[in-house]
Amino acid sequence: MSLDEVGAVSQPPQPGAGVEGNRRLTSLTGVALLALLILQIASALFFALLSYNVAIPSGPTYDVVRPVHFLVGFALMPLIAIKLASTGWRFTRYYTRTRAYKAAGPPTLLARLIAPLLIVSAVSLTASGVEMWSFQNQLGWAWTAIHNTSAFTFVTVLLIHIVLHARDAHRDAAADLAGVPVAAAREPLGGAVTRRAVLGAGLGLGAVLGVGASGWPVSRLGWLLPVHPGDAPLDFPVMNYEGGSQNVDVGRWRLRVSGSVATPLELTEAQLLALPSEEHRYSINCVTGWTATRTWRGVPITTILAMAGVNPDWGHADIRSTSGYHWDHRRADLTLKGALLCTHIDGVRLNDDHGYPVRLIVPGIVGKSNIKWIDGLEVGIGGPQLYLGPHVDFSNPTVTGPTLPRDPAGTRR
Amino acid sequence: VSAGPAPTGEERRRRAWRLLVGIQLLAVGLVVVAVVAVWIVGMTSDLYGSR
Repeated sequence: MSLDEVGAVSQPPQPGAGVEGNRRLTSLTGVALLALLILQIASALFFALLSYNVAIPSGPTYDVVRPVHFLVGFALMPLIAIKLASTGWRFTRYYTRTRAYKAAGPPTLLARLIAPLLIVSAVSLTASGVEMWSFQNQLGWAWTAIHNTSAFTFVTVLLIHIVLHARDAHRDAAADLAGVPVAAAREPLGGAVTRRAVLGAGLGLGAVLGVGASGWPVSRLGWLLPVHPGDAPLDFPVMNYEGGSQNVDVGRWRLRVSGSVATPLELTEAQLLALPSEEHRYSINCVTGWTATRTWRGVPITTILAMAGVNPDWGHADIRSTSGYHWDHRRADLTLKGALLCTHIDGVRLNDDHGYPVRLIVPGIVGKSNIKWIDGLEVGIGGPQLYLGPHVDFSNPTVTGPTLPRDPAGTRR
Repeated sequence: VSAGPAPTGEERRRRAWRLLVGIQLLAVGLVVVAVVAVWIVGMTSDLYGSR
């Protein structure tokens, strides 16, 4: 037995050790949380810009950032739980008048004032995120509003929290990792191994949850993913929150091309199917987490626009659905190779669920902007609409356009 | 080879401090690198075909 060990056994517990241990666990967890939150807030900003239709490079960006948001979001949960437990312990001990915690005093007034807001927004942010992920946005856009409101609140309060605590938290966490004694004590503060084990378990559990919930970077590790696309051509999730499912009567249906074009078009289904088509294989990535890779066949959008004599200076085209849902797409996306008015998936004609008679498919864009049941392309000059206000398609999921009657039997091809 | 004197508590604390601050900078750096990479890839990539 070394002299140090003798000393450790013979010394009484350090005064305030429990308070200091609690402070250090809170600090260690807070430091780990901050690093993950930096990544999460950055990916959230990306999602917000996408939702607002702000011009950001899509394609590979979205393919990577989407799973990162899910992975980090779930990885944060155990750490948030540890931090709530640790700070909740201090809160309880202080208000139950435990001597050491009372002597250590409360946090600053501002920290105490913002703490409830921070906790409520963190919990509602996490809960609404899990809801949207698990139920695939099928329970309504109210959850999106809750998630967004919570996010803005959380980030605002978090910035104040960081200013108040980041420096001390890093100092205390560093002291714990270095085995530095509490002031006036000779021995390192006990419980360091336990604190590291708790933090390590939180990080480990977070990694398991994060990879399981996102299926990233290896999709077969997505053990928590609530939806898995099958192998059949049309066997992938159907997301109909964009105005409701449609049953289009193709006898009355027309594809209209209007706006900044020399010759507005009105094409029947037969005319559309007679146009030269292309096939491209790539993935559709839904904002709710699933991915399906298919071979998409259809008429390039550039072909249709050329037929209509599009203005050479065109900048965007609002793609409209019979459901009333629409999305204003940038020229940069619509002119990508593989941007199609899609009629077939893996050689199979679209069905009603997947957008019969024609749907949009553009590589690399957010899945929900691939409009189904298209009946119009309205071309414009300049930039696309920004959805900074209430997005009509989010706030009003009911049908806003003409709903055509169910397709008579025998018209499908 | 001599192992040299063991680091003092203060040295260990400074190293730990640098490690933790380094982790935060790494997170910020990842975001910056990702934004720059995405920008370059978005402007030049042929992953989804040329325009």
